[in-house]
Amino acid sequence: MKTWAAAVLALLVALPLVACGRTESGPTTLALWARSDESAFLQSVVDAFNRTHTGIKVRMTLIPTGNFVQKFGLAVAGDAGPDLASIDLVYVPFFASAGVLRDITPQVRRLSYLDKLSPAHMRNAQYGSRFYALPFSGDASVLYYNVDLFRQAGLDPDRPPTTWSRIENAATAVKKLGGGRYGFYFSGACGGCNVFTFAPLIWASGGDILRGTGTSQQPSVAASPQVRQALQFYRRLWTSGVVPPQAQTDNGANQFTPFETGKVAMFATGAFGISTFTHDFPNLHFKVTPLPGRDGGSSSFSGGDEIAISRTSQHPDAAWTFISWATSMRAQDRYFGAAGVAPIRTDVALGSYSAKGATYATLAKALVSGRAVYSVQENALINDSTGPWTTMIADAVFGGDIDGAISRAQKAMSNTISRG
Amino acid sequence: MTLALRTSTRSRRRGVVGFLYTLPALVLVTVFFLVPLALLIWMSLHRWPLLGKPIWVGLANYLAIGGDGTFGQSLLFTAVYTVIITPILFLLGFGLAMLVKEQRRGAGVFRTVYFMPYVIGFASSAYLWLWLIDPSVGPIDKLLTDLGITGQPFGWTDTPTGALFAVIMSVVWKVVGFTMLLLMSGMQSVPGDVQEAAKVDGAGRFASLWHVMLPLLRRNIALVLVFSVVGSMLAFEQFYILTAGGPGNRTLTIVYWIYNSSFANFQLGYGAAMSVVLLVMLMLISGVQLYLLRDRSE
Repeated sequence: MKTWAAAVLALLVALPLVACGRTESGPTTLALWARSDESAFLQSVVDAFNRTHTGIKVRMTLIPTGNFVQKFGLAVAGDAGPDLASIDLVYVPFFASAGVLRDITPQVRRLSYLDKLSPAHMRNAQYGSRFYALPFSGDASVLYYNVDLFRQAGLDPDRPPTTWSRIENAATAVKKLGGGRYGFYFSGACGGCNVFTFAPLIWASGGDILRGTGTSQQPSVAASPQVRQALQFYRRLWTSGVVPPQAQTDNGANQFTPFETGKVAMFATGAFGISTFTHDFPNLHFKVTPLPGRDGGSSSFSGGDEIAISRTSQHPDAAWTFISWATSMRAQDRYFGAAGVAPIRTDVALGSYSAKGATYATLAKALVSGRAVYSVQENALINDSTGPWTTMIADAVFGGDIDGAISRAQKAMSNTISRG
Repeated sequence: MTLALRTSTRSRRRGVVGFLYTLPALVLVTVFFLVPLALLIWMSLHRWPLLGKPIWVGLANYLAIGGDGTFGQSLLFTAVYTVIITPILFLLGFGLAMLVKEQRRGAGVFRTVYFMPYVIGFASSAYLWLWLIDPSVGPIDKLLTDLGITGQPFGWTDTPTGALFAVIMSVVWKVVGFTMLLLMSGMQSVPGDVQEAAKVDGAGRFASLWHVMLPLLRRNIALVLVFSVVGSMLAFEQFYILTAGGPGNRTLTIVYWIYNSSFANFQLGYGAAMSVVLLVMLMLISGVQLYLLRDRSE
């Protein structure tokens, strides 16, 4: 009896030691999930963190971009989520509203460089005035143009278009060169691509596509004349034949090809274009300029990722260590900016990143002054290939029914928001 | 009295044995149909996000369907698709069944060839056709341009008509063998003496087909049409893979919209409500079909 009781007692004493031993014997390992199209630079960021930290190790798992939202959400809902997630900033309000992310407001408020972080990212990191994420990697939409095609068409590459009519004129001049060359390209069936590159045309002209937040959010595509004007602008480009035919069905999978092959003069995209075009197509001479409004001005979509701690993480303090390191000036300069990824710190973006050249400087300004879409229904409203934003562009630009397309989109967006 | 009691006991025992025989089927139906159906109806009465807690909303999801233009548009498109593809499948399947119904040399090979695509999954078949109609690497466009029928690649998925036509081609290729098989088995069960009698009475080939064969095939035709209509109204994979609902939602089917509402937009309650509405519609359509094609001699 005595022996039996002693054995139970020993077990009871030993159990906590066993539990402690796991964390005390080795470094804490954090699981980080990221979307696959971040793979190019993210591994070097993780490697740098692991090199410089002995007590914490980060292990990255890449999730196919198209499945990230479902996989991450379901994993956290089933208590099998990672500690950290690098999330496209447009989805952060949804995840925060669903209770999937840890509230990190107290730590965020203590940061000394809070005012140095990308404003668009900071807005999307909040839900109900609480912080659930911090900016991680930056991006901004700008207009890329082919210097050689501009020259051949008699256009001055140092004076890029600053209004829509100038874009149309330049596109027409390049199209006239013949030989399968076109003036302008966009992915007509890609909602995400078009909010990144088409919405800034509306914003720069003083219009908007959504108003308010939360349950009081309302679409404003019908109330903004700029939406109609921007659709008419794209419709004119399409009907005049300056846009390649594949634009109509391009879901974003082949969006770079027409510009990369030197057949298209103008194409709006983000920071990743610089490294891709420079390294993979060294004969492609390009410059970038801000996306203009109808009669001037400019705007940009500030994209990229936020970094968040999942609700189910067992190591929130270690996860915060990674976040604060990743948003530090040194990490953003050395492992993001130096790799060609737009930094999310305005001091780095406008400093060392801009010093790399005029292209980087234009991107940095676009990032700092840009904006993003904020909605817990972002996917249903904008990114979904069958959603109202994508359908509106297809019906208006390729179908020509601009008023009908806007009216249907307004109604469908209202309906989606009301269903919650 | 004793005899009556014995008969009653025997019939009760037979009833119990009958119940036990049907029990496995009842369990399967309950577990895989009735319980999920009850859960579906329960979900449809909630605002049920993929993440977070469901909130009871009563009939709000059903009422929201009325204001959802995409629901109406996708339902209409699915109905149009069904109306187009059902007669094509039936007539082609009937023609093929007529060709291979006799036990003559080589008939077995043709039956196998026509039926073989049916054993491939819809997704695999759609991916195969995605390659076949690809304007850059697909052989169909290359053949058409090489023969001078088209000047340049057709761009099947660029227009709603082209996209619909491409899907119809792929589905007919895949499914027509099954239609053929169902009709062929019916044709083979038509007694030879009935057809002989019709011939003796002076009925020509068409009259024999119209007045003898078709009435005797009524049950098989009903089965084929119910399968075809229900299958077409539930079309999803082929559109998801071949057209992605485009261009501009012009080939968006109702199940595709239910899928997107549920798993892309995370509105599971709304998706459940649309599923219930579709289920009721399909039950009504199938009921009407079976009533119209019922065997009136029974």
